[in-house]
Amino acid sequence: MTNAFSIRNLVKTYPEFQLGPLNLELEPGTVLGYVGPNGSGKSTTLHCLVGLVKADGGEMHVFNRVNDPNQPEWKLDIGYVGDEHVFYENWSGEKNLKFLAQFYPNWSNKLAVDLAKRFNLSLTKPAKELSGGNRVKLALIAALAHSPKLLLLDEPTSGLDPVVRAEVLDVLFEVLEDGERAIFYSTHILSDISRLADELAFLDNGQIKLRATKEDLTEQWRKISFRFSGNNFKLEATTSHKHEGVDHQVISFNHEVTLRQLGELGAENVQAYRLGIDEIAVQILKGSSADILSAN
Amino acid sequence: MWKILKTEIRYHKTVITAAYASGVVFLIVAVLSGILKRMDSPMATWSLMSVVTSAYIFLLIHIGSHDETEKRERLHALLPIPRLKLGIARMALLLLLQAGFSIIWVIGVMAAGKGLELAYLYYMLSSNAFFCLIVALIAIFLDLGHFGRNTYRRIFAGFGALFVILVIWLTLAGKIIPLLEYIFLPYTTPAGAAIFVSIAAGLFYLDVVIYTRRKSYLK
Repeated sequence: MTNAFSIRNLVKTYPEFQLGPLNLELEPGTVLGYVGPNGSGKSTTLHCLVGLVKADGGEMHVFNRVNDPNQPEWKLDIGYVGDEHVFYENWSGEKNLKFLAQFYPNWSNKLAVDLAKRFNLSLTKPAKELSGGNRVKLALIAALAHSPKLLLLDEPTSGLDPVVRAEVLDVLFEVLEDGERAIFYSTHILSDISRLADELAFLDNGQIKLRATKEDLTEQWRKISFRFSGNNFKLEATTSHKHEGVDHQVISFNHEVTLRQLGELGAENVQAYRLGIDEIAVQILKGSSADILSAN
Repeated sequence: MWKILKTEIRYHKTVITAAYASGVVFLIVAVLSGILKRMDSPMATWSLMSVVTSAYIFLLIHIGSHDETEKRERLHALLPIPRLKLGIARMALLLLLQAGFSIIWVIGVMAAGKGLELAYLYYMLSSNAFFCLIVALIAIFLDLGHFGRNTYRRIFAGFGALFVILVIWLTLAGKIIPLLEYIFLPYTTPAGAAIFVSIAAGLFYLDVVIYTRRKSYLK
């Protein structure tokens, strides 16, 4: 099957940071959340993929076409909303969209106007007079109006206050839920994407620590509490372990393994609780990648 | 490429019109007041050319600062246009704007009754090419800033510093005027015009190549 994009051995080195070697692919119709703390390399990955930054090594394909900046037909399949929204600032939203329309044969003015209505955005104001939230909306319309098969979103709502962010995301998800397009959504706020994502890839310090489906994560991870008086024991498949006297609490990334071991040890009053996807993300990003990766 | 060019011209049309209008007004005044007629050699029109060029410089600063603030390169780099065409469009815009000023200058010179002398044409070509050469060097310096750790930019700036030291030394040694006379002697000849135009064209080409190989288009 043709991937929406594939990244092979991507490396980008800066004086104090290295991204990769990174391997990542996205199947058509899949929504992949790309989660990691600030500075983990999320934007760099996207910058390399869309050609804003030249990678130091590796290969990138978009729908089987190399992302060659001199043969940019592959860009016709992409809608990209970056961490910054760039426009002709003195021009209205309408004029900015008209400028972009020239380059995309599939551009639909009707779709652009429809999206503006759904986003409740006036297209007559100059871009420089738009609020942060409205700039995001305009950037989203610009990315969607040519019906791209792959949507790349790089923390599009960063810098927005929570109310505006929720408003933008509500409409965005409404629009995206209708479609069949592949979406790659980079964010450090997991709640932004947890509603939409099929899969999550966790990036930390330039490396992917884990990629899993949302269902697998919520099925496997548990917070487990129990009573046990023994001292010298180490539980398998756990990322954190706290205790007060004989009362213990662990986070397990494979609760069946952990519960079985607790049963063998004779632990009492064992209780397991499901974790929210946000809590799981925190555990993954601060946990030992070797253990988690080997378990998944 | 034309779409980008047309868009840039349309976006900056107010300031472009104002800059050209100021050039036209100045030349009308120069022609009507007889200043131009009294200039008896192509080199003597240098001051006139400088005034028109000043309007061009203000225009370039205005467009350049807008492009920088609005991160135009980032916007354009995301479009489905080959990088080479983007690089050419950028330099073509500079060339077009300057060509517009050259036309104003030529009309002014012709209105003053000096248009039949080819020396004026060669002078115009040479001096325009010389200015293009300076603009291309600035563009190269700026583009070299997008290669990782600024190594190339430092080397380029190093050559610039050596050049300044050389000029100071020549000035102190009293050799700068003879050297400038020697350099600008061919200004009004076809060979001289061809040399200056070739150097400017070469540097424009070099900048397009550097632009297409930049490591970043984020700013």
